[in-house]
Amino acid sequence: MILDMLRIAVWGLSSDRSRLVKVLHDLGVVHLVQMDTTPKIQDSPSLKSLQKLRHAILGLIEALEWKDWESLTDDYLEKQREFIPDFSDGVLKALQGSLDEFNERLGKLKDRQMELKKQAEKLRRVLKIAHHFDSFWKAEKAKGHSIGFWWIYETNLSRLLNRLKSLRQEADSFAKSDAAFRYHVAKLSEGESVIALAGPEEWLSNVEKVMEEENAVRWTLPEEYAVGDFIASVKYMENLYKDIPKELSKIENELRETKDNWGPKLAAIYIFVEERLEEVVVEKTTKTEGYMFCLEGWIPEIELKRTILALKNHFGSRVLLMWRRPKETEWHKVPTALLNPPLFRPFERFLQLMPPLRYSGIDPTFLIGIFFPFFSGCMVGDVGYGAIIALIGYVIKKKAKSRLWADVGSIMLFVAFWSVVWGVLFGEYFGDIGKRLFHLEPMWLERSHVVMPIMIFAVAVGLGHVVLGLLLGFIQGVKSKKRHLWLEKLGNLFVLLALIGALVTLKGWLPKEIFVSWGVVLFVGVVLLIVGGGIGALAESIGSIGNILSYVRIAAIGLSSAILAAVATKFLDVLGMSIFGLFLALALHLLNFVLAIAGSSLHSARLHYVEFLGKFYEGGGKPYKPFSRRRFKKWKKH
Amino acid sequence: MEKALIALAAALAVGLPALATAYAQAKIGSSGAGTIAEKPETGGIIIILEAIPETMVILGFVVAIMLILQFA
Amino acid sequence: MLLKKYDENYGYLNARLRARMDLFLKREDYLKLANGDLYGLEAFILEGQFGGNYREELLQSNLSLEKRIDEALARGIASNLQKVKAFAVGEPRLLLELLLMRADLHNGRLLLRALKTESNKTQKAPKWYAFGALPVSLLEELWDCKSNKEIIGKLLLNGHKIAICLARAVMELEQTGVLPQAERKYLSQLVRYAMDKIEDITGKNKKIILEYIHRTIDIWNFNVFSRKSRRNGEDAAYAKYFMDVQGLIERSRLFKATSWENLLVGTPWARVLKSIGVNYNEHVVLRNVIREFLFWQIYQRRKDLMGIGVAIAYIAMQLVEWQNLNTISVGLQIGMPSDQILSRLILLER
Repeated sequence: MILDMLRIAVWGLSSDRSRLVKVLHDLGVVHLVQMDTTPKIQDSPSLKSLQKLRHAILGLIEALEWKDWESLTDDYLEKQREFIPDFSDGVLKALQGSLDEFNERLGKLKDRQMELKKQAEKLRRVLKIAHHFDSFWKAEKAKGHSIGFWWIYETNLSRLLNRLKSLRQEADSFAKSDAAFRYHVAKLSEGESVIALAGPEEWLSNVEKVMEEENAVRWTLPEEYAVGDFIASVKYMENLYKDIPKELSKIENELRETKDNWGPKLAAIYIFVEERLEEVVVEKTTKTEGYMFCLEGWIPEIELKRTILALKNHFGSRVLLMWRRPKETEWHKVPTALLNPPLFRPFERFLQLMPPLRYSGIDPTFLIGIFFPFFSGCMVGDVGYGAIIALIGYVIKKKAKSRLWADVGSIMLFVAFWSVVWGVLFGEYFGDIGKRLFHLEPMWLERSHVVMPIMIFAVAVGLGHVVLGLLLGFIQGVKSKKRHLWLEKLGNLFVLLALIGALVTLKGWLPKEIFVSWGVVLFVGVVLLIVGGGIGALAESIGSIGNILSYVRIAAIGLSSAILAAVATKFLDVLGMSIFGLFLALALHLLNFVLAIAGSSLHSARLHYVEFLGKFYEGGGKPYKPFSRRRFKKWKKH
Repeated sequence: MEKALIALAAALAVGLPALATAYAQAKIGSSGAGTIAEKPETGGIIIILEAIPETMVILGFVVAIMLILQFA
Repeated sequence: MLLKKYDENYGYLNARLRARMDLFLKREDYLKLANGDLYGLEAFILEGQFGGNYREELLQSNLSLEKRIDEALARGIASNLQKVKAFAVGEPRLLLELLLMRADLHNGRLLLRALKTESNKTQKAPKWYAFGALPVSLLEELWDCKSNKEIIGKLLLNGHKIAICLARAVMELEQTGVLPQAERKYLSQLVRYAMDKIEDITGKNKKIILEYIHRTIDIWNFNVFSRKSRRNGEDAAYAKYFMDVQGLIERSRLFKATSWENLLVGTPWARVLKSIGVNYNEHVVLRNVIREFLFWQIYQRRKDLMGIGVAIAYIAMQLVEWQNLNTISVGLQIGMPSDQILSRLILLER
């Protein structure tokens, strides 16, 4: 149900302004309409410092990667509120100071973490190269050779080696050393290698020029890791590399602790600042006339008494409250507030996936609450599955930390109820187990054996649902005085009536003589359609026949679910009461159960979104957002 | 032989539209997932769009059932 | 479908990108910002998609307001582009990486120029584009290196193909000492790398990417051509800097042409001629060429909704927005009148 709204104006003395704003904030029912939107409010220093604080806190929360907004309870917030009684300059300054200090500490930790990660990566790369050479280095060092490393392109390698060989022969001739030319190549990527050359000191310095000519680049261990000789440095680096994860995990622990300790505190402060900011903005944007000021907004009619009472209690006769009903011309400006019986409130979730409902629209929540579980239950149609759904729904509802999951749990209970009802009608208890063990017979039909009647039933339900949707669309059109809308829906209804009438007459359930009159009805319908919405409406009308046929899915999915369940039990027939047979049967039941839940709810939702709501739902409204404390809202950073 | 043909016809009546639907839904689904990721409020519309090709299979299913019940 | 080497998720990626295109600033936003002050710009950024990045800067309180805006935008745009890259899988991912290589091109050229003038020894590092394949930390390290050899070593140690391309360019600089030659080497290496990468891709997307690469080559050639025509006497000397790979404009034409009309008439770049008028100077031409390239990229968003064009357009739009916000920021700092600021922005017809 969409609540009736009232337009209100609150007049008060300028001296009462901030107190009045606070009272309304606490009351939390007025959907404020901003009156004065000049950008001058940006210049207010108190606003600026608050905004700066807010961004700084949000920045810290983001830096901490704390996201657990849902876990903040009202109690916790109230406890935290005691530490920040107001936002006077002194409190702000103290707050800013401790935030800065905290920020610095956090920054240091994060910097160190970053640095370690970088160092680890660098060490990994260097070690990867160095490990190619350690045995070569050891062997050559033992012979008293010096060793040098160069980067070299793969393409230059063979030429380089030839040149080095000839150079070495020259060298050998005067150095008279016994060793042949020694080198070791490690291929690093497709095009690049590192080559290590070993030889007498003076030979290596001769090589330098050749290497340069061949585009080779001298490689040494990074300075910061060079301690003693090559092997010692590699050892040193290995040790460093080994220690990094330890320190990293220490830092991570510290960060996690900080996050757990400070995240909620910062979030609480953020919420307070945000609240205060909202008040300041409202204070600054009120219309002022002389020593009076005025606040305007919308409230649900049922909240009027409470509002009057609250204002009277706080301000007595120093405040003037005026109210009136919205005019038809301003309906598009009125925010939409929904109020449904608590039992059906979870189904409001379905509207969240649609554009917001208009004030003048029809709230389908109740109807969704009726039909959604009815359809899903019909698709599941099994007492056993229904019982399990009920159990899961109950657990979810009890354990739910957020409203969303609690609602999901409630909806599951509805579905479970109808699953059981349909299960009794179809005689299904975990497939055909009930029938086999206890001879439980269906009260209506056995789905897996008779297909046609259930399909016809599904289409008939679809017809009813679609016609209901069209009727609502018609009412909606009349209510909002949109001629093309109600003409179109009416035409649609006539066309459907004609088709069904003709069908029934052909079947012989009605006298053949009236067949012609269905032609007249069809003609009237088509005319209404064309007058209402042109040729496009005609196409849509054909679409609604498709919509009705689409409800066959209720039977189809139900059928597949029933057959799967029966097949699961068949495994026991084939394999006997063995563990393997039981396992297969259970596995198939599990699969079927998951499919039943997912399939039935999805398809049921689809029938609502596509076939039903499309006929009358009017989006483009403004959701009702009362000016209230955060605890009444879903606090979430935007 | 005749029964086999009918069964084949029924299978084709469901199978071919199922392939077509799967293809269409895959395309719509991936685009839809992208859209919802950016604009969650479009969820309802995306479900509608995602569901449109499904009608093919449902009609195919009806045809298959008809085939089997009428001729088999 | 089954024969393709790469997976793809253009449907998902493009849906996200197209939804995100709504976030780009519109003419009215620019108008409002240009008429406000720096604080207005700050507030605007804080509420927008780069708010998170700005808050990070805010935590480092030692920066001035202008600097903070500057840094927040640069970081925000880089992280946004990196994020977008992460949405893609398979073929689009690969192509996005190639598209974002423009950052590596930019950074590499900055580095090469600094090495030539040795300004890296005296000055602070420039603002790197942080959305390329080479991380900024590496670039910072390179900037602080004492010799070209050290730089080459670091690049080779990094091991990324693009790092190796840059290493070869630095080597070229080291050996010849000629900056344009080193830059040319870098670009041609990058082009070769890109060509290798797209070898297995077929169809429309390959065509678009090829055109993108060709246009990038053209832009280089235009720069060379501009120098060539500015210094008539040294024609031959400059002509050798034309890219060895052909862009959209044939090499023979580049050598023969004597004026911009000569060069551009009848090519896909012909539209530039219209926008520059008769009495133009070289800078105007080059600026318009780049604008034309941007517009070409942005136009791709309408051509194939299930192709890489949308991503090309998205990146271009993001970079245009960045440039515009920077223009506004600078304009506000020096107290430029709003109509002057607006005339310097690149505004897209929607």
